[in-house]
Amino acid sequence: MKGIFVAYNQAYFMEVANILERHNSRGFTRWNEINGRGSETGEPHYGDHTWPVMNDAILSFVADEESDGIMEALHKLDSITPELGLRAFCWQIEKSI
Amino acid sequence: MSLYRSSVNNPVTVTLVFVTIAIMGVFGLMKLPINLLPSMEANTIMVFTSYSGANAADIETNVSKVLENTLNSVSNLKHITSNSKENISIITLEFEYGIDIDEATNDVRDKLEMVKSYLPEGTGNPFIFKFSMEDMPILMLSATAEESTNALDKILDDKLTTPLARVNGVGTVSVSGAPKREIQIFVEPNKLEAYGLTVEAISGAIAAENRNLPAGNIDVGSDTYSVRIQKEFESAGEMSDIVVGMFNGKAVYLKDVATINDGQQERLQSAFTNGRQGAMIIIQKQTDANAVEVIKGVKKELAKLEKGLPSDVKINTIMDTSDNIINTINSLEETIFITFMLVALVVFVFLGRWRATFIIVLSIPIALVGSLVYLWATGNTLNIISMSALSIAIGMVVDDAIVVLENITSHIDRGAKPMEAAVHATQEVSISVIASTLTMLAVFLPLTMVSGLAGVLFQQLGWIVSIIMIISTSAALTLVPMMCGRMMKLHKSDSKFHKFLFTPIDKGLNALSNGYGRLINWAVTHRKSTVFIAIIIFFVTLVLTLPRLKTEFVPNMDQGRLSITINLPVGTGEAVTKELAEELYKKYTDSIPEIVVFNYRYGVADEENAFASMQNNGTHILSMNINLGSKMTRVRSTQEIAEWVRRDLKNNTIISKYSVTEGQGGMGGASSVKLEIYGYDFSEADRVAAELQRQMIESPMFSQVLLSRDEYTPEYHVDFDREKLMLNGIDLTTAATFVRNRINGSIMTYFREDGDEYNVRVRYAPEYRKSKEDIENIVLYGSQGQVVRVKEVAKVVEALTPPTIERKDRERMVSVTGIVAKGYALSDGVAETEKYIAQTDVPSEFMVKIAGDYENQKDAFADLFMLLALIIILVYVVMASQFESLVDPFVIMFSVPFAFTGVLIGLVTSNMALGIMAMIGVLILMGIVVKNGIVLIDYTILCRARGMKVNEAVVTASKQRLRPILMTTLTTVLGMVPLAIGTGEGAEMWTSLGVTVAWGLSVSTLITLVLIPTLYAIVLSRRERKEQRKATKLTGNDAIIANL
Repeated sequence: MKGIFVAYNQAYFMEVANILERHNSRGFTRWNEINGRGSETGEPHYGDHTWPVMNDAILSFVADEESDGIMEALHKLDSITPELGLRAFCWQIEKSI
Repeated sequence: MSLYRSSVNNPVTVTLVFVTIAIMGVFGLMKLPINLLPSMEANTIMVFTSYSGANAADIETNVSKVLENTLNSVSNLKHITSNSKENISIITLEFEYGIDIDEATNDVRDKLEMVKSYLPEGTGNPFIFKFSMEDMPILMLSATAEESTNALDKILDDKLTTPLARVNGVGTVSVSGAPKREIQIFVEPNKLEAYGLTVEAISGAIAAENRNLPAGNIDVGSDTYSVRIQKEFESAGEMSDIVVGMFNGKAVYLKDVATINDGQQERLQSAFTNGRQGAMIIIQKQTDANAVEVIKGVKKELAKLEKGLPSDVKINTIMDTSDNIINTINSLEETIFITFMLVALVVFVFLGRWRATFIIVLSIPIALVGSLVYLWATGNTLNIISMSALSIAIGMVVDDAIVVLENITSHIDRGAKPMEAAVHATQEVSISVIASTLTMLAVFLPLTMVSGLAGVLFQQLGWIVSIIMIISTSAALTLVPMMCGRMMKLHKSDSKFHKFLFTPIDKGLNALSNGYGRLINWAVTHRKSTVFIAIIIFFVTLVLTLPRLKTEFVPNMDQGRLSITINLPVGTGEAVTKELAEELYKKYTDSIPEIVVFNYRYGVADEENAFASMQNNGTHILSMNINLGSKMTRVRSTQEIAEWVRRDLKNNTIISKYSVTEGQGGMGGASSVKLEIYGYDFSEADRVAAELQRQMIESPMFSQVLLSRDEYTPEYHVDFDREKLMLNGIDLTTAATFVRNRINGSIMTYFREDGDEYNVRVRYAPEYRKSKEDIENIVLYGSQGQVVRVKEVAKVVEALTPPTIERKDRERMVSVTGIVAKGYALSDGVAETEKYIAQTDVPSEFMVKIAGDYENQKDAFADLFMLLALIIILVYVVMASQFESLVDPFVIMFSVPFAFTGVLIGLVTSNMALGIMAMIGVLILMGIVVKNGIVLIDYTILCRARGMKVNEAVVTASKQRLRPILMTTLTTVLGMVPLAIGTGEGAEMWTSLGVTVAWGLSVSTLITLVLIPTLYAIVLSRRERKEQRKATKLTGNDAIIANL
């Protein structure tokens, strides 16, 4: 099992949820309207007057064989509209109940 | 869920909410009556008090003064004026505009009740009459006839005026100039004397013979019959055979001593329309009725009634106030439509997208129509003020929608899906959209609180624009994102045509913004020079334009109507007046081809005719009404024609006084300067007035100068000698009645026909009442039946009656009123007369004051300047709270002085005067000129917060925001252009408003686009230096934290 954390411009929510769905991963946990800032070029998303955009974040735990597909799909989505901003991180899960 | 998300997710609800607003608005629009100006409640109360037998001076001391002293304490009173003339005192109380007149009336009534016991004995009960502009006639018709001329009065009465008076909203219908039937018995005095008869005896004999009398009932068998004597005359001819007396045992018949004339009343007003004699029908409306609706009703009824009139009776319209109102409103409708199209075009050119343009433009009709619900619910009308408000608002309602749409578009361009972009983008700009609406409300809501005349006029404007702003902001925050989410596409594919059309526009705009960027770059690196240049521009225009700025009260509207009153020397006979009337008619119809209807009347008005008898009338007075038709159909303006007529009348030596009035009463007539001369002494006042009048007449600035005090009226006084009368056994009343019955006639009975009554008047035949000798030869009979001639017991002397004594604010007053000539403004006239007053030797106990339009203007301007200060403070407060800073909005406020620069340049170059409409434009400007500054500063703050350096932030923000600023400014300025260059009917009223806003905003935008970024750069740099200084001073923990 693998954990995937996706931080993205809130406008992406439907697309991200769809990608997970298509890769047979129903479950996720989401945080709405949160702040963040990219490490290199990414604009800050602070939801204030200066940086009005907000992020969402999704944490999903998916089957090992689906993780690559999901990461690839997310990368594709990001490369179509790089200005919106989307980052995903994947790691191994040792145990779950 | 946020408002924006719920509106994007609930398109049906959002759509229906706005459709409902639109439907209610359209419903309101259909029901809304139209009028020229917002309805002004009566602000004048008149109190009439009669005191028979007293002359003007007696009335002044014993009645007018007493009443004035008490009524002066009524609250909200602005001026109290009185006219004291023989037998009557008329007090006029003028209140502040916008007060509750009913309450004032009750107040006046209470005071009158209190003061009644202090009035001299024999004074009649004072009665109260409310008067407002609404009581002016709204429709004048003429009726001409061929064969039916003699019966015209009865025909009109039966078939026209009575049914017309029943039309909803019609107040009174009066007829003047229709010959009134009367049975005249003209006796010959020498025959009367020979038979020993008197006028009274004859009149009595006729009355005694002309009777119907019920004589009671009798029972005949089982039936009851009533007995009746029916001997009223069936024709006038019957009268000739009645016996009026006996002489030498023989009966004297009426035909022996008199001629019977079944004819028309003598001394009636004669009215001519387009050269043909006929009657004039004057229709006044009920005070609270709507003129256009009433006239519509009257015309509908008239169309039906005309069919029932004899075929030779023709009805024509002399004056129809609704024509002008309808044309004015139509021309405003046209203006609104053109404005709408222009704004849509600007939006399309800038956005280059059909759908986006549609979304933005859609909010215009919704907001406009929605605001009409207010008008309808509060019982207001569509008028110049409310329609101009709509026109003004068009350019501004799109601003919010543009800001929202622009942000949504940039989100979509970044790749967000339209639905999501709509929600988030709207949320981002919502605060600044609401803030800019609040600045507009800071301007327009205070307008609803103004008092006085300006308040009556501009409350509607304040409400309408406020409501429109609120609706348009709501639409921008709900409807616009909803529609954008649904209609905008993620990836737009541009057609070839689109590329062909918009590539050059886009290139042009980019070049413009690059050039502008370079300019700002120069400005922020040469800050001192930029500020210096701006200051120079401000003061140079001020010095150049301010001395040339003219002011006025209300612009003169070309209403296509002239009313002319010509006074010949008092005592001029009707024949002379008639001759002059015919001469002038011929001359004017020849030399003024613009004339559509020319109506004139002269002579003494019938007492029963309410309107005519209220106006000046007499055998020496000639009144004319000229209809010049719509201004669109002629070359010369009403003012030019009026001045031509004035010049003509000035050169006519037999005329003693004339007045030519433009317009139809109420607002929008020619500007006039009214000088009021206060002081007790009659002859001194006359001298000062005459001197001022002479100087004003000589000046080219006045086309007509009128003195309020009339001339002395010549009269014959029959001065009876009581002793001589007594010796003959005659009392004064008998003697006086004798004289009256012989000249004016004795009416003791009526001739009845078809349910109508006609006077039977017995008097001397006309040829026996023509001279002073005729009066002297009137025969009185003594107690023993001896013949006594008037000259034996009385002296007939020629005398002069002093004119009316006028008082204002409890002092005697004479006024000189000058109409300002074409090409000069009210302020020119005022300046000129001030010079004359200084040159004139005014005794120390006298005071000369300029009143009238000037006073109204001063009052209104005082109100509006107060408001201007209030608005500036409010706008500052709104901005300060938005930026949470005191300095930033202060920088933005620098666009305000340049708005004044623009207004001054605009008014002076287009040769317009600053009146109340232009003042309203100035007030509106306060709200819109700061908008650009807000956008610039807001974005500069953003750029700074995103880490840019001062100059870079300023330049980037200016370049970035140029497009939206140009777009919103252009929509507002182009929205004003149709108002400013309007030529339609009534356009004089709103052109100054359009010019003010268009020029003020353009100049202010051009200058502030450079000045504000520069000033802000100065402020930012100082702030930065301060912070740096602070940072270097950091010690201890602060320093450690700063270096972490």
